[in-house]
Amino acid sequence: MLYYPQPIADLIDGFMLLPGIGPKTAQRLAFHVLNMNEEDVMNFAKALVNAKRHLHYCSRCCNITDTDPCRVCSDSSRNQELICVVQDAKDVVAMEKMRDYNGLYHVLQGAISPMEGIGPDQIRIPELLRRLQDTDTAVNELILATNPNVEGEATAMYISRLIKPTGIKVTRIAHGLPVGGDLEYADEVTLSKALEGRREI
Amino acid sequence: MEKTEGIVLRAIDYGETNKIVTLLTSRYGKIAALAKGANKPQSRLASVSQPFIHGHWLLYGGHSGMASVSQADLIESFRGIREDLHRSAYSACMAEFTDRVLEERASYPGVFQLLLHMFHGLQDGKDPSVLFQIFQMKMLFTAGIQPDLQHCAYCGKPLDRSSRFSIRFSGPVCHDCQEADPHGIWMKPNILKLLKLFQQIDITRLGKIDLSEEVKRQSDRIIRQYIEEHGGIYLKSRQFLDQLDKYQL
Repeated sequence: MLYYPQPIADLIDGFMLLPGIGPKTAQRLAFHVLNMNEEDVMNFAKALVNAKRHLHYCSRCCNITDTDPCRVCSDSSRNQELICVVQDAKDVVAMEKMRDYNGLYHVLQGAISPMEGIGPDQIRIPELLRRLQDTDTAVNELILATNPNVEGEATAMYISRLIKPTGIKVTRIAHGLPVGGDLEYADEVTLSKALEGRREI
Repeated sequence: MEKTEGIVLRAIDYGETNKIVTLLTSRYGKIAALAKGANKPQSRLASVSQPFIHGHWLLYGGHSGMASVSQADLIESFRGIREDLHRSAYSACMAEFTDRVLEERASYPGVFQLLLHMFHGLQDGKDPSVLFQIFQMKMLFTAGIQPDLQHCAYCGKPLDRSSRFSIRFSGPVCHDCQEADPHGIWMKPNILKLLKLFQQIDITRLGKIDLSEEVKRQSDRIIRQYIEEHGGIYLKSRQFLDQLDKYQL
């Protein structure tokens, strides 16, 4: 039996496709859309379609972009000799917000996961290698900024083993206490990593 | 409230900030538990909710649904494993195999100690592929599909030498029965001794292991095919190891 008119039933089904949204939330969102003014609804619909249609991966850094090469890759004021390897497009945004980094990026779109059987071929490591072999670019340092968990560590170890023989400097971001954290509540693993990476002030 | 020692076999993200950890505990067998907030940067559960971590766990609930982690304290983080690609790949295989074989909340005596010893062995730098083979041979008993290595799998006579392992008849075959299974895997005569040793060895007394590459490859092939055929277990982490071998890293 159809409880709702077809258009709103379709809308509810549409919202249900999104992660973390169940039938009740989808209904609430759908009814909220009915109360929105038409211009906002049109903009929302266009944004959805445009995001899917006009976004693709940058041919150099594999980040999501609407221009190719992406804005970061085509910015000549950036340090072309430095590449920061991250797992996800969201990590690029996090790094950019910091405003301290002026090099390029490479987005792996995932991490090597022994548990899930995701190997080097399933993420963008071949693209990274090709990029480093390219004679136009002279990369001095590769910063591995993958997450400090099993997958991220495995990825970092794998890349460093591949790249080390080429003579390019490979560095790993530091692990340690978060700013605003409390030493007393820090766990042993983090604390020992922090101690290992201490430096003179 | 249940307090127990446990090793994290698997940790998957659940929602934005939570994790579901699958634990192998010393008292309750395999248990899945929700670690609330374990993905938040300030969470005290964040570092213990990682695969291969051995710790004290305080769990609550779970009689009619999933248990939740109330507190967790680290005993051993096995850093030596996670900082080495090969060893973490092999420990991932062991963890996945355990996860696949065991039923939740059923008692399996000795499995917890076995896995713990294996992780310590990996950490101490013992040959990971041999450890994994021993582990699999021991776990076949738990899985209920242990092959009989003392008798010919075809005619049932006692056996002390064999050069063929038949996956079809699930065991080694004697010289006279070799033709019975044309797909039997050829093996060096000492492989059978090795497999028996793997089955019976006391893991606490495991010393230095020195085997040639060819012997390791042969025994690995037999164990792997046996498990895939009779257990129906194809490990995802095993495919990862294959990829590593392909690039010879």
